[in-house]
Amino acid sequence: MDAQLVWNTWRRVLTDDRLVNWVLDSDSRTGDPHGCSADEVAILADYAATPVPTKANIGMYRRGLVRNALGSLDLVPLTRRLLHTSGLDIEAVATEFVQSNGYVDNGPYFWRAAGCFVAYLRERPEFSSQAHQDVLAIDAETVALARRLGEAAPTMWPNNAVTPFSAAATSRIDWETGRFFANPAATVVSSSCDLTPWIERPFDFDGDEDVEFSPRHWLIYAPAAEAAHEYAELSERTALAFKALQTPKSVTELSLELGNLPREEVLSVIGSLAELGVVVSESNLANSAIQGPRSHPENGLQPADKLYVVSQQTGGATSHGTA
Amino acid sequence: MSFPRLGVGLQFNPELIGWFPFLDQPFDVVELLFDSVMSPLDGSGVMSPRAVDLVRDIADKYPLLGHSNYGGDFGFGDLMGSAAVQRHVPLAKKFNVSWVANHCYYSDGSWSDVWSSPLQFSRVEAARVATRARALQEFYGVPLAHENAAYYRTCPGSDLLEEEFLARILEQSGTYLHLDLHNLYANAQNHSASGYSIQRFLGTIPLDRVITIHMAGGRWIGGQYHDLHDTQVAEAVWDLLDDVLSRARPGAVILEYETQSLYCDGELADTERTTDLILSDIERGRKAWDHAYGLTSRRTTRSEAA
Repeated sequence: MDAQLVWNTWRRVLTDDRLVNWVLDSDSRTGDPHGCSADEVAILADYAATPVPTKANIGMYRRGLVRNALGSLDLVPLTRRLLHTSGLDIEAVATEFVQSNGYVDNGPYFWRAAGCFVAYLRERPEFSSQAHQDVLAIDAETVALARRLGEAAPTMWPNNAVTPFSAAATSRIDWETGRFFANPAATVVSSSCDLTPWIERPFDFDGDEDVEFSPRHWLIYAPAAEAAHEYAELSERTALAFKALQTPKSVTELSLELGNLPREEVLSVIGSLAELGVVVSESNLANSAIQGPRSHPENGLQPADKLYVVSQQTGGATSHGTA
Repeated sequence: MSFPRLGVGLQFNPELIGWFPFLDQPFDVVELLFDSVMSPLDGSGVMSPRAVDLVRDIADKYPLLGHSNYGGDFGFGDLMGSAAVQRHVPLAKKFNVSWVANHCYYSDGSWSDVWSSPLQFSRVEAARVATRARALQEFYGVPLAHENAAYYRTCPGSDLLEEEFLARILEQSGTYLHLDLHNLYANAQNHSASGYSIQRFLGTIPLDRVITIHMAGGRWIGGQYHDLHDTQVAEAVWDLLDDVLSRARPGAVILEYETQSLYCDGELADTERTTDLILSDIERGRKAWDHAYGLTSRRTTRSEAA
């Protein structure tokens, strides 16, 4: 038997209840083996000849999926907390998710696994409240950001991008003609509710408590390649500026984009975002070799739109077994 | 390739983190599970943020060995895109591990199917796996050892004994063997009726290529013996250790536990008792090692003697 065909066939069994029945229930073998070739049927028959260990292996696989699905929520602690305070049987919810997801094994693609689980929970009626939908949308965006960064790392991570706005570096910025852009290590998502108390306490908030219906804008960013995601609340104006800077813009261009906002206020907005390294000047990117301690902007760049960093999230690998 | 003679240590298992006093013990070596500290394969970086701080203290205090459970090492996917190459190799270099061990299972960007998928023990697969093993060892730049599997059934199409299969791989790849004595014991419990023999296994593999030994325990559930790492090391496995240490010269003996509450005499022990049971096993492992190789043959006892 070709080993790769055996492997592929076994993986089909693990994810297909009809094939599970075929190998475990002799009564079901009278029917069509669901489009399998003769070689594949021979492999199925081999597994069917050892029903006890085959059943144990299938059970182990599916329990592993449930365990790893729950473990993947460590990457999105807001969603994790929402689920854990929902009053639902979380093992049952994860089992239903795994089944509805076709018993897919995402393995080391933890972010994809977390994203699939978050997407599943968004559709469940128990999480249909606006606040819960807001949380799940934030985490969906967190997952999307993490996966984008996995595909392509930014030229400068925010922790490194902060430095050029220090006193030593600001003189290098051409404020009149230089252009600024949003660091791809950050994104902005809006919520309908004020989730501040939940984002401040991602591990112990009560998902049943009332939160104020009040639109908010959240900056999500990864300070470094191996740093947990952080969150900051933005004013509406700063959020608009960040979105506008997805395309590099000069101070003048950004002013126009923000309805002819006065230059000093534009500088203030840029400075507040640059302080976190989530907005970068093109000239400082070119001088990215400059290194130094993090410091606040100076020379007229004191941020007027103060950003409130409300929480440091954790991220990590999923749980798993060893041998 | 050469490897150091380290001694007796413990696996840095996620289930033990937060309560087991790792840093208070005079371990000769600690085994790091790459999969539990690596960053997501679809994310940035090499280590997960949570692991960065956890591993730092351990790495500062003990020599580390690397272990891969889910690297896709021997799957059919592109080796360059595997977790083994993309995450485990950089971690091995970051922590300057003395050697790395991996598993003889299939996986391709997957985890939960690993334990149900032992490699097909066939000549064709031995040649294919040896090619990947040789390439991986070159990437690591340190010895790479393959762990014998515990399995509930063999892969369809197997036409070699497991020990013959492993011996072929080592012969063709120039890699090493990571001998899990509890996996041997578990297989003997589940497959002795179909001819499985530990003594034949040990008589067939090249014992001079054994670089590490794993010790663990497990339990019978539903008529099958399971490699659960949730008891003290099985008594028969200690006998196997004495036997192998008398015939081989491994660089380390690593004990594995995967729970905060070990089963002991059919009951669950609390955390304090579990800690004592683990420390008791480790001390027994040290005595076995010292009996075989001398009182100053471990890393810590060598330094004390010096």
